[in-house]
Amino acid sequence: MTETDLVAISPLIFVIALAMLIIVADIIWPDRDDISTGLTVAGLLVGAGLTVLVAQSEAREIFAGAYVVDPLTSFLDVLFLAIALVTVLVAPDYLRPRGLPMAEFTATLLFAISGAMLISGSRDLLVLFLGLELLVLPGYMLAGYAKRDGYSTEGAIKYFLLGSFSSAIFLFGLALTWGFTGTTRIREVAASLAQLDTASALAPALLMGLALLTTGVAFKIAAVPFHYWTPDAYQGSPTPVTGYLSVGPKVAAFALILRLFVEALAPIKADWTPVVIVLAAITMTLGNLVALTQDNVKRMLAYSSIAHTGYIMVGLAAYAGAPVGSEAERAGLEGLLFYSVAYAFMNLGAFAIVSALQHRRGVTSQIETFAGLGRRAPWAAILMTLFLLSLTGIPPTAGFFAKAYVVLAAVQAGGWVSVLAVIAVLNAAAAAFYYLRVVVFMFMRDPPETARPVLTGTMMRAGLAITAVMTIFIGLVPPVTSGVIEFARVAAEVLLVRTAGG
Amino acid sequence: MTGLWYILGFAFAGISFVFLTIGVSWLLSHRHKGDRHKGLPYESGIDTYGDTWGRFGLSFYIYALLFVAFDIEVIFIYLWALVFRDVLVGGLVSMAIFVGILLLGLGYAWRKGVLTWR
Amino acid sequence: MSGSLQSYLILSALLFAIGTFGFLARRNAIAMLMSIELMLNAVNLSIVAFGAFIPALRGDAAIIALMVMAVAAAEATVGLAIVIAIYRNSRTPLVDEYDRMRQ
Repeated sequence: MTETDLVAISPLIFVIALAMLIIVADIIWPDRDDISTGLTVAGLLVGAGLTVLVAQSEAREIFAGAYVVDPLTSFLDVLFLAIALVTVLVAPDYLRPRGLPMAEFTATLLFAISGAMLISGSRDLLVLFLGLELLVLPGYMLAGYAKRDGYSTEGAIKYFLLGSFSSAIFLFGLALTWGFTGTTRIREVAASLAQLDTASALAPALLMGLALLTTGVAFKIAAVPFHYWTPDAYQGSPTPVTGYLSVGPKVAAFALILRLFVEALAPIKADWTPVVIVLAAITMTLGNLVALTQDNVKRMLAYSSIAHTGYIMVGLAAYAGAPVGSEAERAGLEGLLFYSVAYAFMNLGAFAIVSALQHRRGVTSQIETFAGLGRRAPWAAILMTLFLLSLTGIPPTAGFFAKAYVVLAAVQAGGWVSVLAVIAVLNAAAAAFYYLRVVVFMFMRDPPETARPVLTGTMMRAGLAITAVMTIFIGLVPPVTSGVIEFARVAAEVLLVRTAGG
Repeated sequence: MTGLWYILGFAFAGISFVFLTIGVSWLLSHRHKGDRHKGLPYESGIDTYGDTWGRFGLSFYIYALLFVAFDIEVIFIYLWALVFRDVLVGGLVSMAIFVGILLLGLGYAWRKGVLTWR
Repeated sequence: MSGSLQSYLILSALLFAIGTFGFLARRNAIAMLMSIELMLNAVNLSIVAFGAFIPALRGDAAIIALMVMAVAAAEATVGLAIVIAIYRNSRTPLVDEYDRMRQ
């Protein structure tokens, strides 16, 4: 451990220190929501600045190769910090009326984000696992944050049980991979697998390890058929937490896939590609089909998030299905990263609107709540329409470009993956029904007699502004679009250079 | 044939040993008729009460959780102790930070009133 | 057969399978938590076995096994805390009675 090591992971240390600072502040001045929220917002901005600053210097491996700070790490770290920032901005409006304290919320959230940041640059199987656990354990706590609320704890227990079940499966896969290749370092794992005779069948232990890893990861990203926990966990959790859960852990799990499957397991790509293709197809389709029948907007968005997992997996499939060294490989990873950014902002935005409507206690997330919103609160209705259009994938929003990138990458990859492109487009068309149904409710129904005005605080407005601006700008303003794409391309190339060079 | 005798002899010895020990203990032991404590699973200590399926108060579990969380951290200190000779000052500082973080957690639990018996 | 790496791996796979079955078959949240612990311990057994039979992995194995133990304890703590919270709300540890959202 040297000073350069510490400087390189300073964003990660900073986030953990910030979480502890909030705890200290809460010990000294208990129940001061303004202090903890202010500290978090300021700290996250500083943290993002620090990440960008660290990213200026050369990519380097630190801690004897267990962690790396490269463009991919920086890309993901900035995204995670942005997700945390929006969540913290949106949360007070929902938590305060319900008497839930902000200090524990922000500290727990920051610990989870530090786990995600640990994953993003991890080059060691054990560090990956620790990062994953540090990510998900606070997630369980956040899901059950409203501990007097039966729905919240019910969602939390389901999330916890399925989550730790999948962690155990994933760990067994890691242990077998480690035992088979004899190293925990991802680069050495890749080198060891590259020496295998590609024509012959894999050793049973390695094959079993691969199967277990795939299952564990599929649980984490909520791919069908490992998605059972998602609807209940998302519907039960306090709405700002749902917003976070639907993007934070999901993007982090994809980061884990990039580090583990794309880096370490690339040499045996042929063995896991078919699984990814099939999972992507059924995840998109089933997520969308079930979302069609939902009357609760939170639950509908939960199934829609499953469908979006499928779209992101199309990017992964494009990478996996493309010939080694081809342009489509890079396009697939680039699409995956770009989609993650677009999805993070539009989904957080949609959940932020649901939170804003639920400012008063007792307001449900049933679709009736949205009836006549166009007249009651035009701004909220317009923003919700924007997010839903983006989720549908209608130009010129961020969602359109994201879908376009993944689908084009899939077409480029050819073979079975191009079938996925067709399925993705068909799914996007079907998804329009349930997204637009909410829009119809907002603009074409009369508000219920009992409806009361929608209240939004300054922080909530700031959160909505960030998500809305990003959703529009990523799609509509060419410099921003190309900036994000450029960043994603550099990040994707890092992975490919590594896997090619062994 | 000698094999069979061995088995029979062994069976006889085994069975008689059981009766022998029971018989000796019957001869040697004091017999207190009506002493309730003799029949209890634990002869000494305070009297047991309730049945085996009695429930603990939920408050117990909070303490148990805190105990498990802090107890398991000892394994890191154990590893640290093994290599202490090689790390010295740097190791001491790292461990101070580690224990400091743990204490912060405990202090937070205390401040939040988790340690108050309810 | 006894004392080979393979037999230990098979044993750990069996334990893991028992844990998986327990998780899927039991409906008591505490029992499911115990099953998960069994699965984690099965993994730990395989890790320790790798360390014992492959000299190059000995150091790694010790560290990984201890890390897994620490993580398992943290997981159990969070899990039990959630179980306590849900028990206070619904007065039952049986997961199939947690069905408010499936009406």
